[in-house]
Amino acid sequence: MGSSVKFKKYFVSNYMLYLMLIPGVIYILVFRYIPMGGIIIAFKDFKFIKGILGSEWIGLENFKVLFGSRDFYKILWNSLWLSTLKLIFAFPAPIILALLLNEIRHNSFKRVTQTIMYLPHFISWVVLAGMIMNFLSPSNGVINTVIQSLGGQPIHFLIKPEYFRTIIVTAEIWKGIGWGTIIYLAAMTSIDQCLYEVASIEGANRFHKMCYITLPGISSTILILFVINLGYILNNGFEQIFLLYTPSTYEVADVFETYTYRIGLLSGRFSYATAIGLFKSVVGAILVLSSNRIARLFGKKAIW
Amino acid sequence: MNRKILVLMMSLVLLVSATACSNNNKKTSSTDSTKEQSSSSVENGQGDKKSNEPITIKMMANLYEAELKEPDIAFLNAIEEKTNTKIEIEIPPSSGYAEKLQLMLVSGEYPDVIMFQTQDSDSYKNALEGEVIIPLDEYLEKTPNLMKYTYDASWKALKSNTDGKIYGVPRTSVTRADGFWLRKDWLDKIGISIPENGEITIDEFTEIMRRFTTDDPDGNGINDTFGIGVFVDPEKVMYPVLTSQFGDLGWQKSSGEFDYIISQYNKNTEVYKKVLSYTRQLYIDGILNPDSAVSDIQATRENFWRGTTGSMWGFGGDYNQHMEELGKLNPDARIVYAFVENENGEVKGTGYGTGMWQFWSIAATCKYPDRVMEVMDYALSDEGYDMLYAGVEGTDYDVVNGKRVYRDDLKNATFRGLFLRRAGDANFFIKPHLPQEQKDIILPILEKSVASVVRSEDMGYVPQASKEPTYMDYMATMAQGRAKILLGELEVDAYDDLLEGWYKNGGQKYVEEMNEYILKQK
Repeated sequence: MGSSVKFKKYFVSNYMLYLMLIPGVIYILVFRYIPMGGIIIAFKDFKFIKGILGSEWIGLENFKVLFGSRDFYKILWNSLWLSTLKLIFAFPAPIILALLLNEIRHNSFKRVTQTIMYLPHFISWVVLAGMIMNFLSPSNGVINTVIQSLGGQPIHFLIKPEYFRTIIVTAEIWKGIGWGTIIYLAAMTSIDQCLYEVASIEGANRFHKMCYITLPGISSTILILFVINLGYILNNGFEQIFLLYTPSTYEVADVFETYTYRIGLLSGRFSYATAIGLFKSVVGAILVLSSNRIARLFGKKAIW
Repeated sequence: MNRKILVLMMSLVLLVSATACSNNNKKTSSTDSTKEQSSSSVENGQGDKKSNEPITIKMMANLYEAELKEPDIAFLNAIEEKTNTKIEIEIPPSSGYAEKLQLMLVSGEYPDVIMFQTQDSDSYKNALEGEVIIPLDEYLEKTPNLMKYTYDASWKALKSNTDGKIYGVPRTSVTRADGFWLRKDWLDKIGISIPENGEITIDEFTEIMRRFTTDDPDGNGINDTFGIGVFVDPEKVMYPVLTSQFGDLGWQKSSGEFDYIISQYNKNTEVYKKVLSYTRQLYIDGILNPDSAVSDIQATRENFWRGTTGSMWGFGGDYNQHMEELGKLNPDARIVYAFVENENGEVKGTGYGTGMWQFWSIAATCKYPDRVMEVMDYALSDEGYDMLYAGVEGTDYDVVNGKRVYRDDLKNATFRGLFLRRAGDANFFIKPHLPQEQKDIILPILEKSVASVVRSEDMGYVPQASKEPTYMDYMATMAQGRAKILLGELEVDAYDDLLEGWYKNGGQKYVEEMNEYILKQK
């Protein structure tokens, strides 16, 4: 009783805030929640003419086909492995960069550097893939020109499976590192400056301050972002892989996105594509929930 | 207090605008009406046919350009006047045409005339199934020009499997088998000339490629040239350099297990292995530009223009474009066209099975299908076709002393190019305004390309078996195998195992269904 009265009072004095919330809630409802009804397609033999509700119900047929597919385990492994590599290499990259940026004392230099490093984020994958192909071209690419001038033989990087993951992860880092620093730099500004002053008095050097104040100060942000990222473990993005893979690198490069595209969209099997999407989301949700729980067990701040 | 009201109003504005947006989308549906609605009296063809009111025909087309330019508008005006119609064309963005088509079918509101991309597209099948479009057989009896200037194969392809009736008017694609563009100045440098008839043997072709690679044909003192560049197919595997030359001519009669077979799936001949092995050797020897393994067609053309490669497979009508692009970097560059003979000394190539590129269907809701067919028939009549090809006097050309003088600032006529075409007319590929000496270069090439076509019997049909999950999974394995063979990572004989696997994973059914289809067409 008491709490509801309290809330009423709170609501009356702050109703404007709730009003401002409306467009956002509507957006999420319309574009995020209502389309979820479309999940039903995964259990139907979807035909355009018949519509979603009119299509025939086929139950778990699509999932049986998916799990029975000879490529399923390969694709699952490729997706997981590539994501894990990204978590290992691409996730910490912006943290390190943010720590470094934070140490720059010259303010305008810092801002210019930051802005320049944001730029790759705005380059679309299509353009970036074109650049990568040019760089790595065996006939006139920069890298092979260097290799040749050092006396080596040109390497056709893009058709060798052993280079594929390195290329993708490197490209991800290059594209996302600057943009990724924003959230960490914001978190760093909320660290109490007194801590640094005290540490200076106690004789701590810059490295000590970084390890014992800055890093712990943003650790909850890191943890939350890590948990969120885990939810995307089966998502590797479509464009970057699709634009850079070739049949010769399928064995390492074929992930759920490209598989869905080839099997689901190119041949109009929308139900199947939806089933794959649903499977990915379920795996992501399980990972997020369990890692969140683990984070809580360790006594850290978690999302819930 | 004021602030509160302001906030309230702003949230309301946001809400209203959000709903307004969604309404807008429904109403306008981006109908790119081509011309200003000049007369308000036209009431969507409500008027009696006998009255002189022109009827309105709404078309939906995939035209690659959002707006029609003057030549198209002048052409449409001329046709409208002749046929007493008003033609409105809706042009959805080309990249999203397939989706727009599907949405239009679901919406239940159809334009009178709908352009479909292939007879195997889902949207066309849905339209057939849902009886959205009508059979045209009765109207085709009254359209002699359409009948005369369309390949039989195209009509066959547009016959419905269920009732045997024809459901579309093909935009004919003049079927041709292309040869290769070679750098003439490089040939001069290495002392090889192409015979007058443009035909060379496989060995001569290979020798040219080899010397383009090793003999520094661009004379810059650096070993930086390649004989040829190719590009990747939709499965991202390199197109082989030579195919028909080894006897690979699409779906053809066979004396083996099946009545009809394509060499790619033929277990009894070595034809496809020869195809693979030829390109594989070029790649291993460094004669084929290694970029080919990941290049699209544009990248391959650019490599040719840049002087990285000395030849490329391509359309004979592109002479002008190649010369222009090559000239930007090297004004001395010259090109020559060559056909590579097969092992028996003949020039043969596979053409599009159906001889068409997109087609027009008429919606069941169209009030005057006969008039629509009249318009299309007129476009292929002598008078209409002249306008379709050469344009309209006063817009595309002026008549000076009884001769046509084409205007210099001629714009592209996208609609004219994609509306309809006469079968077998190689001349269509030669832009009317080109100087005579260029026409003299291009026409013989095109005539040969058209004459050397062997039609694949599949009519572009895609068997239902190809939609089976196991089959589709295996196609990725197949693509991977083919790519590795071409890149020298697997032996050519590995193809035998691949093919065996293909038959086990649905290929058998694929070939059976294809045979059934081909025999039904006979």
